Amino acid sequence: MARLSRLLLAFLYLISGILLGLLLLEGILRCNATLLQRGLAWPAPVDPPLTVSNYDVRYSDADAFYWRPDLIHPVPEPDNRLEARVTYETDEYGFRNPAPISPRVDAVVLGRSISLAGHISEPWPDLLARRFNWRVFNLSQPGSGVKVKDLLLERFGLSRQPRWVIVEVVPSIDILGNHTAPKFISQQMFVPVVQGLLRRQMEEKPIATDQAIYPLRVDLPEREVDLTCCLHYLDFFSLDTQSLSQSQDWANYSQELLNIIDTARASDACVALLYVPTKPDVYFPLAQHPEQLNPSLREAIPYRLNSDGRIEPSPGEDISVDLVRQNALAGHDLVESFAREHDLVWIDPNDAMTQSVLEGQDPFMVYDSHWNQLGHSIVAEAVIQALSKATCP
Amino acid sequence: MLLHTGAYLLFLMVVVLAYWLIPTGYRKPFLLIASYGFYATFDLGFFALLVAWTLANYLLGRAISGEFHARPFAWLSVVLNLGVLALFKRADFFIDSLRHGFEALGFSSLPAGLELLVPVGISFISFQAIAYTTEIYKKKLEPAALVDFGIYMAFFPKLVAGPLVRPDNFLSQLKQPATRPDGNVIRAALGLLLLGLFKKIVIADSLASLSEVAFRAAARDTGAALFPSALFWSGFYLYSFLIYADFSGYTDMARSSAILLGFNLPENFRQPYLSENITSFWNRWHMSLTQWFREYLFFPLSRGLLVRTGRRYARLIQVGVTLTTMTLIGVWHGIAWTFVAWGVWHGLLLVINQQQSRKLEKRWQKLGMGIITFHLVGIGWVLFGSSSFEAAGRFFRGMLNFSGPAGWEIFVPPVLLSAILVFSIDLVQGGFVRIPARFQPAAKPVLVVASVVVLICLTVIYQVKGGDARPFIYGQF
Repeated sequence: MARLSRLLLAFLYLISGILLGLLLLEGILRCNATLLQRGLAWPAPVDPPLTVSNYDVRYSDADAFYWRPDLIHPVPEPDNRLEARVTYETDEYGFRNPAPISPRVDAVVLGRSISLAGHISEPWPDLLARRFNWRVFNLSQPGSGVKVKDLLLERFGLSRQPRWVIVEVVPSIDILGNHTAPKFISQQMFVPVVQGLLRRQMEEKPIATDQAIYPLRVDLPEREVDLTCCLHYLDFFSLDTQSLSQSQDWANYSQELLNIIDTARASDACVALLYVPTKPDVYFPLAQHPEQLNPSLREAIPYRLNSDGRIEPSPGEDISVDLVRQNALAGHDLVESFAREHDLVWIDPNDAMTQSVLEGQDPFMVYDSHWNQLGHSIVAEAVIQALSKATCP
Repeated sequence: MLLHTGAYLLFLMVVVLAYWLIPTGYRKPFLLIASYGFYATFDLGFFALLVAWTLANYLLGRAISGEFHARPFAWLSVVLNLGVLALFKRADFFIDSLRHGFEALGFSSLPAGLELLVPVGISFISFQAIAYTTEIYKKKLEPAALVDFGIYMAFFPKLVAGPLVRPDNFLSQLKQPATRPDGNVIRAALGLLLLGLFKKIVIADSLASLSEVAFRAAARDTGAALFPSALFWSGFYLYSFLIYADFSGYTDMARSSAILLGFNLPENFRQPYLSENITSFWNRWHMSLTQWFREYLFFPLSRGLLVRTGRRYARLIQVGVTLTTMTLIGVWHGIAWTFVAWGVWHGLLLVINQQQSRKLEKRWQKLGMGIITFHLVGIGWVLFGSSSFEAAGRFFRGMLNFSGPAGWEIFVPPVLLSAILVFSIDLVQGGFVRIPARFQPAAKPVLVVASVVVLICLTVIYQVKGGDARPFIYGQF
């Protein structure tokens, strides 16, 4: 009996110690976001503040290789071209801005990795700042869903009394991945940290690429491209506008967007929504021979609206290139109508990007889903034009 | 090899096991080889320098103990050790001069092998050497055997950042047969090791290192005034915690490593931030260094001056010698005006404190003076951590610039958490706060498990993030 009670006591101490340790870890992670992994939904930047780093970006640094190296044919070293020479400067909080941040700013940008653009030197917010001679506070963070954007705006942006709040919108990952900031950041750290450890182990082993899909040779009007794309987005295009608009996911997302709008308007800021064209948006409708895109759907799992009004994966159902092309603008149209309904400035660089592809250019990184410098220039131009025309008191 | 890395913990475990398993006669040479091996992991050149340095001081020690020319040899030892220290501390200056010379001669770069690195722990090594030869000169110490002296100079737990040991104390420990630590001693040593790791990895590296942002902001020529003042205030407090947790964490690990090998290293910190005045602070902060300066500079210098002047200017001499000693303590950290200013600042505070004869009786008075002392020390740390006077000036101006967005909610939490951890450890360790008797059996195991959990988690996080472990601040001195 005495032995059992001693064992129980030891177990109690162990559990208490673990809980206390985790509580302390939680406190540390909340105080020092630079310990966090990129892409965690947390309302603080993960980059160390007040630093300037210079680095080169090559084809093999692309996110496609990070997420699914097995789907991409390895890039032979002679073809591993330099895509950008990047100078990445962080402000006093760790966001990508020149420091110090002005006490008053003209615009706050709430985006994901797309507007952060760690792989190029001049993201569109910088180009906007230069063109208008504005003070632009780029609060973009990889993986920041709409709720986190709202928290970032409240925590960092509003005190600087911005005239404009520009919210980046990627309907696919925004609507389906609308995760709120977690209650415990240490809990959310577990999976990415384990993934990181495994990845480090796996880096030493060669990856089997015998089932690789990309790059896909696709015929466009008057030219052909080698397309590597779509790892995050294709599933989403199985949904049409009606399913999307009836879903609880859209209701939640649009409600969170409304919160941002209310927060911004309460501080006398005007709100603009910036639509983010992705590779499927731009290239799929232009494909001359849609069947060439079939391999890209090999791993796609279609979504459907269930009886509870939730969008959920439906592995048994079919997804085709035609369906993707048909629904290419479903999310776009839904968000656009939302913007019109709420008197928001709608910025849509989709046509300009499509036009640039038709003119023989490529506004995306070759092996990466993000825009390249040309893509950011196109977007900056679209933002400039939209804001120039808009009325904001 | 840094003390808070897995590599060191493995190295320590192997060395401790082997040390106690091999026959007694082989232990000293083994310890010397292990220490040299440890130092060689930083740089092979450092190792060669240490061997040469040891041999030179060993020979000088022998020469000083001889019948002739003891005084010149003693001076030669001081000049040699301070010369090596000055050379490496200003290596950048010498190398720049050399580079300009080569460029003037038409060479595009320096010949290979001339890029000097400042050896790790160089200030500590040179002061150990001076202490040894001076003690021999003062006839308080017999020259040691070469292996003993080699261990005295290179004993790996104290090699990087002390604590500075008294030669008689350490060498006498080497002469005595080593006593294998028993279970209680091992438990205490492991507890101290865990505490050191906690201070370094949890408090210094994961929280207080955020202070560097304030110094980076202050180092900017333009726009520093636009940074939120909360950034500088948090930097002010966090740097105080950083330097303490980093250095005392190192000392705890060094002392615990020594204990596992059957040695005792002196205490270096005794809750310095709980001091109620600056004199008390210096009796509790980096105690082995202040002891060294007291013994080899302050006392001889003030005694000499008092004797020469017939004690006529006793007060003036005390002031002068205090300022000189503190200035030199500043310079010991590095040849830079900011270190000089830090030393002078503390010298002035000590002089002012020496003029105060009023004893504080009431608790709130002591608490108030403790808070004031902490902030006065913090002002010194800003000088200490800044790259220039201009940067320090911008830092102070930034603290007092309350215009613009405050940002308190962003910058204050790490200060609060660090403060809670630092003061909790010190209050309990110093016996100021006692854990109630009924909680004591539970407190230790729970705290140990909690510390291990948080250390493992943070180590894994750092591992995944990549990059090198953060070095110890005092390892660069």
